[in-house]
Parts: sequence; C-alpha cells; structure tokens
Amino acid sequence: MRYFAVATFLSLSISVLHAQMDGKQLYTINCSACHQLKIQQGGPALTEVAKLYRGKPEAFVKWAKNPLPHKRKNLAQMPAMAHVPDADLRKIYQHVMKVTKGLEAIKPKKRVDHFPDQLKKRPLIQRIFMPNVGPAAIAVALENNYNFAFDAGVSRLRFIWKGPYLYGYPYWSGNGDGLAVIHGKKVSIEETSPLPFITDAAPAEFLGYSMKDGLPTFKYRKDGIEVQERLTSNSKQVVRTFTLTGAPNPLKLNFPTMDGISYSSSHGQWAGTSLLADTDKPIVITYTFSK
Amino acid sequence: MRPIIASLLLSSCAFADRWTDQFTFESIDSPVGVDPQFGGLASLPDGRLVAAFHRGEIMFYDPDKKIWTEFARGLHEPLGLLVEDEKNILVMQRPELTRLTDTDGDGVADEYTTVFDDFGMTGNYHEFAFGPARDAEGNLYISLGIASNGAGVREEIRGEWNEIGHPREKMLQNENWKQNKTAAGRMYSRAAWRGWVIKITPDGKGTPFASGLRSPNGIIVDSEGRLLVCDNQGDWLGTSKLHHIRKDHFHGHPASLIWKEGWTKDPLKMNSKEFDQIRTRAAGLFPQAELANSPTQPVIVSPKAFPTIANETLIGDMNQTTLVRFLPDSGVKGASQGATIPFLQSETLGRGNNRLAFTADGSLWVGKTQLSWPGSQGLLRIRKKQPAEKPLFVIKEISLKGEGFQIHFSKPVEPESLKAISLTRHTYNYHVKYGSEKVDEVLVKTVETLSADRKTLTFKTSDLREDYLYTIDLGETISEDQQPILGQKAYYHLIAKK
Repeated sequence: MRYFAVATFLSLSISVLHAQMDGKQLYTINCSACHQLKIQQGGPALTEVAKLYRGKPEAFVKWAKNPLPHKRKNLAQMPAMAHVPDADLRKIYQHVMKVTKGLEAIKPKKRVDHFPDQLKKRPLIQRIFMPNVGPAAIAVALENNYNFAFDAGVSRLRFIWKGPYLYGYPYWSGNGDGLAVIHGKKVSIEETSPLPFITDAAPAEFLGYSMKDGLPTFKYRKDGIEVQERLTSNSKQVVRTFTLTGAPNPLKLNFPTMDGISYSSSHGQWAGTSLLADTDKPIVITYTFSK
Repeated sequence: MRPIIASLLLSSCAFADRWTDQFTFESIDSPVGVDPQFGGLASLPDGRLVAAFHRGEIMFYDPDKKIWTEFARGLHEPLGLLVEDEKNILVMQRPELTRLTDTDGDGVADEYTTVFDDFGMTGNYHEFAFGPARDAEGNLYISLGIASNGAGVREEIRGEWNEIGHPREKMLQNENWKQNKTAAGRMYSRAAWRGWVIKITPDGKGTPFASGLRSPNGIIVDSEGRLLVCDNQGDWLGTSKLHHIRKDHFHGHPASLIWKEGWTKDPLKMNSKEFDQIRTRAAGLFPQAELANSPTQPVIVSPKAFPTIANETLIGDMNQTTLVRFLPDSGVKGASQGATIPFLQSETLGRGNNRLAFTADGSLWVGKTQLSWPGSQGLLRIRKKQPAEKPLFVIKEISLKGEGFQIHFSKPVEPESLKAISLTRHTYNYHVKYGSEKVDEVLVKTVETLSADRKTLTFKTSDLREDYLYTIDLGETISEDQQPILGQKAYYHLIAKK
C-alpha cells in the first residue's frame, strides 16, 4: 500500500457543511420535483406558494413540516419535510420569495383527459374502481348500449345498465383515489348469484376469463363445480349463458324480480323468476327489457 | 488572462455532464392513443419489449420497426410484468396476478388466467400491488402496498377485515374521514397481507413470506439469489430503503404486523422500541433528496449493455434524476448490507423512472410514470457510446474491514485527484413520524491509502458505528486515463461491523 494522504480533521458537526448550501440548492434537492416556478406540476407553482406565504416565513416553515391540512384536490398529498432543518426551510422560503418577486400567480388550468376516446368503442372490458361493486370490479361494454359489472371478488354479476359505458378519468387522472363514473340506467341488479351453491359469504374462486369476439367468458369454481359465464346482447335483449361442469343435475337458478325484465331460457322449467334446468348442456337465459 | 482561462476551463470540466459524454439518451415515441405512464416493462427473447400502461394496456414494442402493437387491455393499474415466453406473460395488477396467454398465435392474448388473488383490498388508492419476481426454483414473489390515510376504505372490500385498530365504521371514506383519519394511522393494513411479500409456488399456492413493508414499488431476485424489495420514505421510514427480504422477517413498517399469526396488539399503541428490537435493517439506504425519494424497480444489469457493472442490481427512482446501483458487501457475517451509488445521474435522464429493462442488443430502457405524483411519462432508451468494451470508471466494490472501508475501482486512479475526498456518517430516527432528518451527522476522521496498483483506496478510521449510513464522497476523482468517476458518492449502510 502506498501512503498518499492524511486527513487530519477531527470529527465535527456537519451543520458547517450544510451552511454552505444556499436556498436555491436546498430548493432544488427538496422541492423542485413538485414545485415549478409558474406552472402546477405535481404541486402548486412557486408563484402560488409566494402569494400565500409572502411575509409569513414561520407559517411557511410550519406548513412545510406539516402540509396535510393544506392538501389541494386532485394533487398528491405533499410529504412532510421533516428531514429538512428549520433553518434550511427558511432559506428555501427566502429563495421562493426572491424568484417569484414581481410574478403573478396564475390559476392552474383545469386538467383534461388527453385520451377521451379510451372507452368509447364497443365491445370492451375494463377493470377499474367503480361504484356499487367491490374493488375487484370488471366493467364490460356490450353492443347496443348494454353494459354490465362483474365482481371478481365474489365471482358474480352485480348489475346490467343501459346507456354510455364508463367515464374512467376520475380514477385515472390521479393515483387511484377516485371511482369511474357510470351514467345510464341500471336495468338489472343482482344481490346474490343465481347459482344456489355460491354466496357472497362463501364465494366461488375466480379463475379469470377468455376473450372471444372482444367479450369475456368468465370462469369460476366452487366445491369442484366449474362455471363459465358469458353475456352478449342484441337490440332489446341481453343473453346470458352458463356452462357448468360437475354441477347437480337439474339445478335451480334464481333470478331477481325486476320491473321491465322478462326471462326466457334455452331449456328448463320456470316458476316465477326461478328456473329448474338440466346442467348437462349450456343454460342460455335471455333477458328481454320492455323499457 | 491565462490563469483565469485555465480555471474557467477546469470548473466547466467539473460541471460538464459526465454521463451524456459516455451515454446516449433517446426518447421513444409512445403508442398513439395510450396514456404513456409505464407500470411495467420487460424484454422478450426475440428482442422486443413488452410494456404495461396506467390505463391497462399491455403492448409490444419492436425497436427495429419502431412499432407498438397491442397484446392485451382492460387491466387494473398493472405495475409489473414477467415474461415466461412470447405467448405467456405474467402481469401484476391491483386485484390479482394474471397470466396473459396467446393461445392461437395471432399476437393477442385471449386467456386472462388468475394466478393468484388471495389477498385483500379495501379500495384505498394506496393499496398498489407489485411484482412478480421469480427465483431459481420457479417460485414467484409479489409485494403488496398498504393503505394511506389520504383516504379511507370503501364500503365493500375484498377478503377479511382485521379488527385491530380504529373501528371499521370510522375507517369509511365519507364526509367524516377528515376527523377520523389521524386515529387510523398514517398508513394502515386492514385488509389481508397488505405490507407483506407473498411467495407463490409453481402450483399456484401462496404463503405470506415477510412483513413490514410500506410502498414496495420494486421487487427482484438479484443475480446472487437475494430477494430485494425497495420501500419508500414515509412514516417509520426515515429514508427510502432497499430490503433484503428473508422468510418470516419483519422489515420495519409496523402496520402489517396485525396479520402475523397470533398478533393481538394495536401497533399504533406500541412503543417504537418494541418494533426496533424485532425489525430487520435494510441492506441499503437511499438518502432522501440526495439519491432517491421513491425508489422503483430493480433490474439486473446486462453484461452486453454495461460490462463493467455486469450482473449488478440497478434501481430506478421517481423524484431524482438518477438511477442507483446497489453493491452488496458479502464479507460481513450475520448482516446483509451494502452501498448505494448514483448511476446515470443526469438532468437528461429526467424524473419518473419507474420501470427498467435491458434488451439483448445492449440497450437500457426506462419507462416513466407519475400517477399525479412528481414524475414524468414516456420511454427512454439509453446506450453506452462506442466503444462498448471500454471500461467505465466506477467503484466496483466497497467492503467493510476491521479498520475502515476498502473501495475497489474498475481502473487505476489518478492519485492527485483524490484531494477532495471525504467520509461522513449519519443515522435516521426510526419513528412513526413521516421521514427523518439526518441525525448525528459528522465528518469522520480518516487516513486514506491507495494501493500500489492504484485500484484500491482504503479509508482507515476507528469511527465505525452500527446503524449509521457512511457517505463516501469522491469529489472530482479521475482515473489514470483522465475519466471522471461515474458516481461521485457512495452510501454504505453499516448494520454490523466485521
């Protein structure tokens, strides 16, 4: 080993080193990722910050250390700057006031969806957070303005609606703290699976789906019984097909009683809205909507 | 005049971008009509890339033809991809791990098979799901983020609700949430296995593997078989961490402990000392605001792309314009620890570096995202300028010795350039508060020596303390052939002494 240098400093507090960092440098490493001079990107622009805090350095420091109550809608929550000493926050304050001097705060533009056609075509499938379905929701757009929501958390259909499909931007515009919006009218709502061996307390295991002609065939399993379920549509009807493997034969399926729906099926006996049908061939139920 | 010009030249040399001198950064056109926020990125054996996007598309990119094609769509916030082969791709989305299969060979997935969904969801936005990583035996690992009190939980959840903590009706996201949120805890894990790594065996069975994670956006089995997971600065994390995950270990964020078998206490009512005694320290630390604020995907460096650092682990970050190398120190018994070092630290890299992949031609690809946080979007291709085989001047190894740190360089060092080097140390608070200041930061007294071959630099010091992060600052160190050091600082997390 060749000796080349001896460092002779004693261990000393590094606040000396920090003192060398000016407000601009401190701003760059701690704030610039979210706070630009004039535009809102991640967080409010410095011009807006200056408008709020000019002449109030201590309020600025307090806010930076505990910013939660000031959270602005549609923006990510600002993390507390607990790792930045107060003296440095004051330097950052001075820097912000200096660079914004004479500049006017411009109200941020309302954010718009740059991909508004995302969910405009049919058929379509989209997994997303949406109202009245569990978090493992799947929304499907059928032809003829019919749509339905399937819940992969409990492996069952939740409802069918008529009208526009989904507006996903409230969910996609941020980090997921929003729900997709559905317009249109719910024409069928199910509180439980039509299959008597599946309950929400003891749901079937969700196995996934196959895609054919742009539409999914859902697959799920309970107590050794495998179910395939597919929905299609025509102008006044939604056609729902169950293909069962290992199910009791025949099986009684229970459908909700709702105004404006009449049911028919490929085979089996109806009693009200219950159907007793053989399970050795696909059971095809047609929903006819009168409205 | 002359001396002034010389000093101007010197200072401009010192501030020139040493990375763009040696690497090219090329921005790639995003697919038309697709929100170009990247949640997943991986390479295929045939040289193409596969990418997952924020709104649920999975697309291939052919770098030769520069064409994007759709493989699948409609997924829920996909945040990870693993290619099994050209027709089978695993994707981690919010609700499940899914295998996408092209059964008829037309280039489009027609089977979406649920591989694993046996974990809970409250509908809280912060319950992201990451992975999968695969080990040599074919086991898969996924990591599950915990909920944030930036929001409550939805009425309908998936899976079991854990009763430990604030009553469920007070956890609902409604008009009362502002009053209830503080008592909920800054981050919480009320649905099953949030904050855990789950191991999934090839037969599809999942078992909880390790706990203590917060927002583990990045998981990999490294080239030596370590399961590495990144975690974000926040409550209980003074700064961001790189964990070496081990079976049944608790990695430091207490919220997930309520799912541990036999656990009955509310972590919010416990003392930090109780957790400190049972936690496993992170193998690497990313000092906040200096190196990384929100580390992302680790990837194994392709020998073709950057031979000097072949098979090392390279990690992304959302906020800083740098990637990070991790150099484990295998010489310390009873602890997994090592150093983090900036790589490609350049404004040209930009922010939002969420997903990384190497293709066989020697390109590094970086997919960006922001999800309303600071970041960016789109895809970057990074290549080393020719000649590819000319070694980079980097730190190759840092090892802790009984009397200090030994640093091994990839090339001989110019001794005259070592004048401005220093060693400092600091630690962080381990507490429920969000982040931590640097604590007890001091310049360490050292004696430095350079080996006869000028490739090994030793910092001799008696000031070696456990639970401290040592910052080795190499300043304007250059190599004998006048290359500036790539990665001027190294941060060694000393958990245990040799």
